[in-house]
Amino acid sequence: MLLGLLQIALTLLIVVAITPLLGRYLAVVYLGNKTWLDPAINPVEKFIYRLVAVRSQEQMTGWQYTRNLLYSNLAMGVLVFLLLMLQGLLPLNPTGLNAPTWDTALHTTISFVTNTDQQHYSGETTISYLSQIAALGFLMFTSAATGLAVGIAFIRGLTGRPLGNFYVDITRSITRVLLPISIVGAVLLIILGVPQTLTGPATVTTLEGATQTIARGPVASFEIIKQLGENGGGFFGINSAHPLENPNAASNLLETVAMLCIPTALIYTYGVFANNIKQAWLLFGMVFAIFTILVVVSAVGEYGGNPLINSLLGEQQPNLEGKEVRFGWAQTALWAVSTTATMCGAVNGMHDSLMPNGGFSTLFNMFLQIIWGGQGTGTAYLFIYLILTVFLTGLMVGRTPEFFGRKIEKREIVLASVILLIHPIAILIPSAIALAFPDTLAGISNPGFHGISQVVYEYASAAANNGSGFEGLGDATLWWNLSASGVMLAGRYIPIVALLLLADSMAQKQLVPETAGTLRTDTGLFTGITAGVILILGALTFFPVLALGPVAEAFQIAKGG
Amino acid sequence: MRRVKVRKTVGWVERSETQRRFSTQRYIQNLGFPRMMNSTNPDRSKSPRRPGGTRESRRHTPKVNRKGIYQRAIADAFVKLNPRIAIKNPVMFLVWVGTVITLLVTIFPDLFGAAPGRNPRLFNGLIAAILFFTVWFANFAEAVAEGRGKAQADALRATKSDTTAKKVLPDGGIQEVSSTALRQGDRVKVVAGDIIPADGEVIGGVASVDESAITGESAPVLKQPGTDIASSVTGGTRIISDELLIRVTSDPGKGFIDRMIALVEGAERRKTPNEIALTVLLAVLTQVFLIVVATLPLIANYVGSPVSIAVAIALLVALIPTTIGGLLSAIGIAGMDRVAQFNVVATSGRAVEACGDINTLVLDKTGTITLGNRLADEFIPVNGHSLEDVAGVALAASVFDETPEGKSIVRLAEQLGASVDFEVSRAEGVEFSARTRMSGTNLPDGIEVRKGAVDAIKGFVRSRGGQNNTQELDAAYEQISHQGGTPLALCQGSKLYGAIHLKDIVKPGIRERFAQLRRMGVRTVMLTGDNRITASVIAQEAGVDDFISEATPEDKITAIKREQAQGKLVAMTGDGTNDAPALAQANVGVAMNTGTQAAKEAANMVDLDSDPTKLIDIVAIGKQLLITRGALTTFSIANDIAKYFAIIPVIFPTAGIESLNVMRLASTNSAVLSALIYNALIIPALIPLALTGVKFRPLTANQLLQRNILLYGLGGVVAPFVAIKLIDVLIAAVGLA
Amino acid sequence: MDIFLTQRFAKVSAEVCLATRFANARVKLPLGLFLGLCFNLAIASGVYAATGQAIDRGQAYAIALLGLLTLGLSIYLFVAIFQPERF
Repeated sequence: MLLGLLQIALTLLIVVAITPLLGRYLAVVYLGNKTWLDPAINPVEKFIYRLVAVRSQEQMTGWQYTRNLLYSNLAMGVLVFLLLMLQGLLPLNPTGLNAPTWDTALHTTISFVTNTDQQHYSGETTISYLSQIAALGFLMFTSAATGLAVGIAFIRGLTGRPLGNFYVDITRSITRVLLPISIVGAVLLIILGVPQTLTGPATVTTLEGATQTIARGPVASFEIIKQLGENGGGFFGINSAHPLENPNAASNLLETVAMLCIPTALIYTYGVFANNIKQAWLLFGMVFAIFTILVVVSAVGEYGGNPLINSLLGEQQPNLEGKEVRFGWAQTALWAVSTTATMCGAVNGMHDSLMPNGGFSTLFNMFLQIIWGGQGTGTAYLFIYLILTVFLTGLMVGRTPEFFGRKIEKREIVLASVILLIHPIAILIPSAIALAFPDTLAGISNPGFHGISQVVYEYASAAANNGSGFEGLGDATLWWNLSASGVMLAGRYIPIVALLLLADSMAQKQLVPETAGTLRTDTGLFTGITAGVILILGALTFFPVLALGPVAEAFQIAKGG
Repeated sequence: MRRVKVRKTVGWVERSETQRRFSTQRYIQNLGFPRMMNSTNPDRSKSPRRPGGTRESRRHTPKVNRKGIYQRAIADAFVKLNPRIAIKNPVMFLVWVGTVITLLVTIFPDLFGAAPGRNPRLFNGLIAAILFFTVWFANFAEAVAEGRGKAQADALRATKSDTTAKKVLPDGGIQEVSSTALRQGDRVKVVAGDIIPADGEVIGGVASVDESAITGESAPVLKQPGTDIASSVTGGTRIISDELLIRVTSDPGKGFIDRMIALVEGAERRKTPNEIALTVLLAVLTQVFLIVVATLPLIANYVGSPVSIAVAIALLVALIPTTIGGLLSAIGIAGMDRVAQFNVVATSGRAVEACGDINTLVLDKTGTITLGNRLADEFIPVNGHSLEDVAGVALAASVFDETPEGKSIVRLAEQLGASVDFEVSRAEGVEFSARTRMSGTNLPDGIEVRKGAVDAIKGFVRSRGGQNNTQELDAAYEQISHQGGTPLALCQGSKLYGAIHLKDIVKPGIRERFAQLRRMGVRTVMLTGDNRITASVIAQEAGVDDFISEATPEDKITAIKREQAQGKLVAMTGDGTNDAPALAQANVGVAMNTGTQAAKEAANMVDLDSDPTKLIDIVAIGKQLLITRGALTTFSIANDIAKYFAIIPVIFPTAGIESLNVMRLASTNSAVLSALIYNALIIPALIPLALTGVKFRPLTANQLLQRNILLYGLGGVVAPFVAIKLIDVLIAAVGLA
Repeated sequence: MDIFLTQRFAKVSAEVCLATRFANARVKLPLGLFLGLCFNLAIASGVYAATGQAIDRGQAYAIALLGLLTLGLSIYLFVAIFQPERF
């Protein structure tokens, strides 16, 4: 028990230590200040801007930023869809894989474009090397960079700066953040034993004399951006539970930190932008507290094990079903909560096999979307809740609510509301439809309360652009592919449009000077109230499904049935 | 009886006295050398009225009949059930639809599938009844608020009966028309005893007008053309002497009283920006919970715990923010009502709300910060006279002076032990005149005592053959000026005796109010025509944050624009025509009722009592309005936790989550019913709070937040747990479910 | 028998549309007919299928209507969100 908790504490300590460093670096990058990478990267960037004819000095309005983001994402999506459909004709296909079905290809494309990386296929038996690298690997960078760009543009707007230029932001995200860290990370992973090759699967003779085909490929590069960019789409079907993706505890630590570092650091970056490090730490502390509680809740659940099995064993054993023994209960629980918190979606164990505690925590993370939250967007969502809190509390101090001297008015509330609304719509409505036709649509493997968790998890994962699967769901069907695609698109682009427009309208507001009558948002009291608002607005919405899913299941197991 | 105080000129005041008509006027009055303008008509007064008594005692001046408000509200609450009206309130409209559906399942229990449980009709019927009352209570809250407004409006309307007006035709003839037929630009003649038919501007004649119907102030007001203050008349007031020629300035139904009536009745009530934003938030929450509840039966069905439609509707109604949804419009109407009770006419709710956001108050010194009367503060003897001598002479010179200044000199002299040592009846008072710039007394023994402007007194002494040694007097003059006071010189015959220090007296308690404002984050800027020294002394004494001395009307606009350029919202008061641009420029402009028509048109509020300090109260009302909304919204949302814990654990019989039933409610039905009953009853329980508003305290934002979040946030979490449990115990005891 | 009933319902809903819409807009009639048909085909039978014969036809229609009403309320709330000035 103690050792497990120590592992968790150590990992979190590393994350906290990295936060200010990376946070400041991100701020420097997006404020356009000098970095030591400049001499190497500036010419490259200049070349890129020249190549695609981007006027890098040009600022974009909210609509321009949005339009460019949507068009470029659409273009990338079309390109990748064509690549997938034509992969049988293209090179780098040692196993001679044919095109997947159109709906799987569509789902996969949308899934990777939206930074979700929900996979209704097994990578090693469906996707060629070219598709993995050029199609999916490419989207892993661009979708993460898109998220970062949105987050930064939002922070810029919130702090009264012009939103910036989408193409510059996405380029700088890749050249100065994702690519350098990925290169270092990939090298480390290779050192730790992750393969990086373009040769086909290895055929080996096992000890018993049987021949076994071992799938491999350019895994290390794929792996690091999967974690760092909160993508989560594994090279292999079983993702980071696969020994070639995540061979040992060291690689597990590296991958966990990689998936947590950017969303945590972005809060600090905000502090630098807003020139208010105190508030950044307060927000960080609030999110960190909720995160830690969820980790502990899940870890305790896994450590306690399944009472039904414990009673068969006659002793208390941690729940190791669906886990890699090399990671154990602690690292799997931490990973499960981290991957759903950061919208990474990579898994190192079966979430379906988690105890109800874990099911609760993972669902809770995806419902809220702000316990770190997705690359860039998570931080932005956090500020949406802050804006809503400012609105409520601002009224309570008798002034038109203002956030950093910018008045929160109808337009801001409407846009924030859209973000608040889209999540329940995208999760609950398709879940209800699927559950209304359990035989024809749902394909649930464990009926009952667990079935609810399975279905709701799938859509929550899609809507939050997380991409992890509860698994156990027969999800490679037309219904799941198309409905999940729709949910992913809605969960990604509608909030992004709303965020950018909101940032734009905030940036253009007349600044109101701060007086004693101004509500300060960087106090512990305000942060505490924000936590309350998050729990009430974010969590109560999903209280009934949580009650019918993991909570009911927990009581059922506790009762011994 | 008030003396007539009219001055057009002042020569003897040594200061840059020019510009601001308002302060000039006051200033002159304050110097207090009255001259009878028309000795046969001492009733005429054209001074801005100074209503007596505390502000509280002056509220509700038009007699408001509050009888029958509740009876009428009960009936109105039913009228508001009309779907066309109900659809205007999104939150309550959902409850309305829910009532209809539950009524249907009461009549046909099997409408949406077989109804389990014993006697579903009773249960559904109870839900329908509670939902009905939820809607009705919300309507009732609105109706009561409107009723109070209407009562106020009726009282006003009573003053505004249709009258016949004597319209002056272009050819000079006079035609009797109904007052409603008057149009802007028409000219009417009114003679003593007439009701003035419409708002207008005096263009001819001089008369006194009784405005008590509007302001509650019984003293008649002098009206005459060409002057800023006294040339505007309000429809519904009565002329009590002489006659006036008036140019009508507003079309019927758009006059002053009409605006006030429309405002308090809520007829023209438009939603304020904050209210709109809040409406959006409430609609979003409603939408979210509609989705949650609509999808719930399908999900619950899957695990074999079907949720009946009636229970689903009950859950929906419990979760959507009905408390604030039902009280929102009542809060807004009551806010306007409160403004009206302060005898302020606001042209829009927007303006009242903007008051809460004010960062800077631009205030005139005279009448707002200072009493407006300069009072004697000290005597400075010169040329070897003793203080007692000076006091005696000052007393002698002031015995006939009835002005506040004169009286204050008498008071100060008597405090110093001086007494009148001559027969007053045989003495003769010398009135102040603009030519002589002094006043005084001719004693029975022929000695002339005078007080007045320093150079005027010097001239007087010279003319009586006195010596020219004025160095000490000049030094005293300098000293008084440096302290921000107004010096008067004093002489007896040919001898200079000393100087009187007249001091601007800061209103008692104003310093504390400014301190409160500062705590609320509102900066105060004092505007005065005084010189820098005088202004800084007063500013320091009153505790304003900033002052602008020797201010011209243009300075006023510049000051406002400068503040606004920094993103601040500025409020100001004014009454003169040359204040109009500044009033229009300010975010909140409050015109005095005594002010000109131009000022009133430019302002977004008019204070009928013409009390400039009222601006501070209006700021508090604006804040109170927002706080009430915010507090009730927070309360309403926080309530959801308890309602969830009451309903969710008990409505899924097969889910086995009864342990979440932390309140240990008796049964499914009683849990649902008690949550709903709480939900319905909390609306009437909070009506008084909505109507009177959350008490506003002048604290900093963080202190306010701490207080309110504790009361309404935490209270909103805890209160329903207790209340629902109590109701549940009652229901179980009665055996209702 | 089933088909007969559904057809009759379509007719009734068409008549309702006719009665309410005809007066103000002639073009709305086809739309009403179309919607009635859609309702008949898609929603009611969907409800019927989902509940697996547990309810009778009338209840299926009632539930379908309730679903439509909910959808209507939802749209109404969206109007309230985006155009709050109208309320």
